[in-house]
Amino acid sequence: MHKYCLSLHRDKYQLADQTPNLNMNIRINELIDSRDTVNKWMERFGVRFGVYKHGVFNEQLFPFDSIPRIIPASDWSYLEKGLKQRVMALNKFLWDVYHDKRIIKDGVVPEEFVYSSKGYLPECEGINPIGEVYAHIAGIDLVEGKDGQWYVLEDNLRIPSGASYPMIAREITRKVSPQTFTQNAVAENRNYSKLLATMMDEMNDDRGIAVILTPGRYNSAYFEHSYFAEKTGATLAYPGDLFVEDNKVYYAGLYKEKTRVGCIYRRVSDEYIDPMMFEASSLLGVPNVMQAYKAGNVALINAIGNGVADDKGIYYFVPKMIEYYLDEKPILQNAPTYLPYYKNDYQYILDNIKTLVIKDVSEAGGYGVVFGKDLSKDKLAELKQLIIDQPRRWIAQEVIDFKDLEILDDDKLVERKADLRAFVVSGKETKVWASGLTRFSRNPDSFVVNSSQGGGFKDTWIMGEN
Amino acid sequence: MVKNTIISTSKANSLYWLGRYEERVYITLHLLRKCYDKMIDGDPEDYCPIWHKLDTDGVYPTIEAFALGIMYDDSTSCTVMAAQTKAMDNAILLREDISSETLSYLEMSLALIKECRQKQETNIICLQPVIDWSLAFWGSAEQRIHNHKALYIMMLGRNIENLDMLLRFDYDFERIALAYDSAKRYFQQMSNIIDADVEAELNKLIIKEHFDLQDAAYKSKVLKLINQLVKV
Repeated sequence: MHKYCLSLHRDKYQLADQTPNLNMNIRINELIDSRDTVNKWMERFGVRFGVYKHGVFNEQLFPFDSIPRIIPASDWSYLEKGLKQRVMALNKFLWDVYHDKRIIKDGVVPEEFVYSSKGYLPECEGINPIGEVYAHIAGIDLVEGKDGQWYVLEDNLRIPSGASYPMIAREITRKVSPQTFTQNAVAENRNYSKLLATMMDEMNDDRGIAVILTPGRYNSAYFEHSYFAEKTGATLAYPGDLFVEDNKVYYAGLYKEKTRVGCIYRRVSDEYIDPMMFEASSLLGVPNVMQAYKAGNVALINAIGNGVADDKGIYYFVPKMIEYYLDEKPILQNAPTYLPYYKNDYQYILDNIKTLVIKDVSEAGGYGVVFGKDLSKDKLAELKQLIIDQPRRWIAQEVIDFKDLEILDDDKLVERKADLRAFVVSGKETKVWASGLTRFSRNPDSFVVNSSQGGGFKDTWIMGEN
Repeated sequence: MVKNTIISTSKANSLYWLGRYEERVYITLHLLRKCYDKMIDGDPEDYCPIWHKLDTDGVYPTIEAFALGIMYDDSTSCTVMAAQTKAMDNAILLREDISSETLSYLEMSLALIKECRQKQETNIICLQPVIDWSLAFWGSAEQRIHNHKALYIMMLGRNIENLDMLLRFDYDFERIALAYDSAKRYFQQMSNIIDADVEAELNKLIIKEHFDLQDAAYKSKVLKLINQLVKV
């Protein structure tokens, strides 16, 4: 593994390349100096995300740190293979769960984990998504341990968000600090829109137009929805713009004009996508879209029902899925995980709860995550009781001592916890985007990096061979 | 990717009102400059005509209070801040149609107005960049909006607002006839969203023989028709 670090050199920050064969010339001072300018440009382009606090919607800027996370080509090659392998297996699992259920019959994944998962939707049984792809866009959260080993923390297969931020950050940083990029072979990341557009075209197969269905302006990721629409050439559709007629989906224009829709990149959750099949009170979805989907007349990106595969409980079984479906050894490792469902794990968790991180499988966005070390005696006892009462609801993981990245806090260089969300796009082929969203915690004591909890982000540079 | 040329009702509405509000920002600032110039030599109450013509009845004790009111007051719809906010509220829904670059001029304008409000700036010169960015916005829109129907709807909004403001401020016939002619170019392009009966009535009213903005009934009727012309 190659290592890079920032070190204080006299009064200047320098990016020290500890791998002599790589010829890098990171103009780190220029990048540091550019931070405020880049953030100003972000504001100019309206790069924000929305947060609801106490029932009030507020939009805030997503703080950008101009020092990138740098991943050398050799590390990336390993990650790329591992990510592709993982997502291919997850797609096969989803197909299997909603069709033959071989993996359950063969006892690899216990059926309780599948059928009690909130993400499992019996309404999706037997549906054949176009191209047999379920997770067209997968966001895989990884951390790099201090030993250089990468661990997968979470798979996001429903509506993973965040790719737009490094994309636009790169666009702006290239304007502000062009020489940094002339002197370093950083893999292009603005091609994410091309990856998306190609995948949408493949799923659409000339049936009609492609749309991105947004719940609307007050969704936390609205910037991303509109930015992707601009960059891919898809139409941004709002609830009410789409309707179904004879099991086909249409986009409604002025004065009864309509045009056929062949592909919907939906940013609306499963439960709200079709009020005729799921949450009847939903005003965010398209009535009867599931009928059109079942009939194979429209592609839904991502497929409905994917939640069963990114359930925190199912996560435990992903390495087993890789072996089962692909007959390969998993390239990427999970963080060491314990399921109270299994007797041995159950006892281990109760005995070692103080050193573990406990996650509620039904929560997301950094919520429902507690560190045993942070809990009082009473709270620990309370949590133990919850685990005893509802073992299926919890997983426990060893706390990974993951690598800190250096960020600029005001004008000081400090170390903070950071993860990486890698994006894998599956159409006819599965491709890994050579970049990713690096999120960091701004709180020195926190391992939680989610933007909704005040974190910031960095661009992720994948370096070329030279 | 198959390009969509159809515009949804909600999008047409946003395009139209974006055009109107952005033009309102520009004209309000233009009129304010004229008003300020007048107040240098005249009375503090010289602000009143502009305020009343915008259908509001605010009373301000000083020129400074008036300036702060018309530039930054959120509670009434005819201020620069309110118009810019509403332009932004519509534009934010149209990023993929108008482009991030076009949208950025409105982001910068709104950020500047907020900053000036924070500093309680009363000299209108502080908002000069808003005028410059408004013109840049229109230039960028013409260059970057590829769906010509979307551009026409926005231009319709712009022209209707221009006419509305010129009528409110009693501009002379030549100026208003010219503005009406300019708007008509877009009526032809977007005839399906123009109310033909209203247009026919306006055609009869905006002619030299009938033109009389001192006649309150005439003025009110023309203003009403102008605002009923576009059906989005």
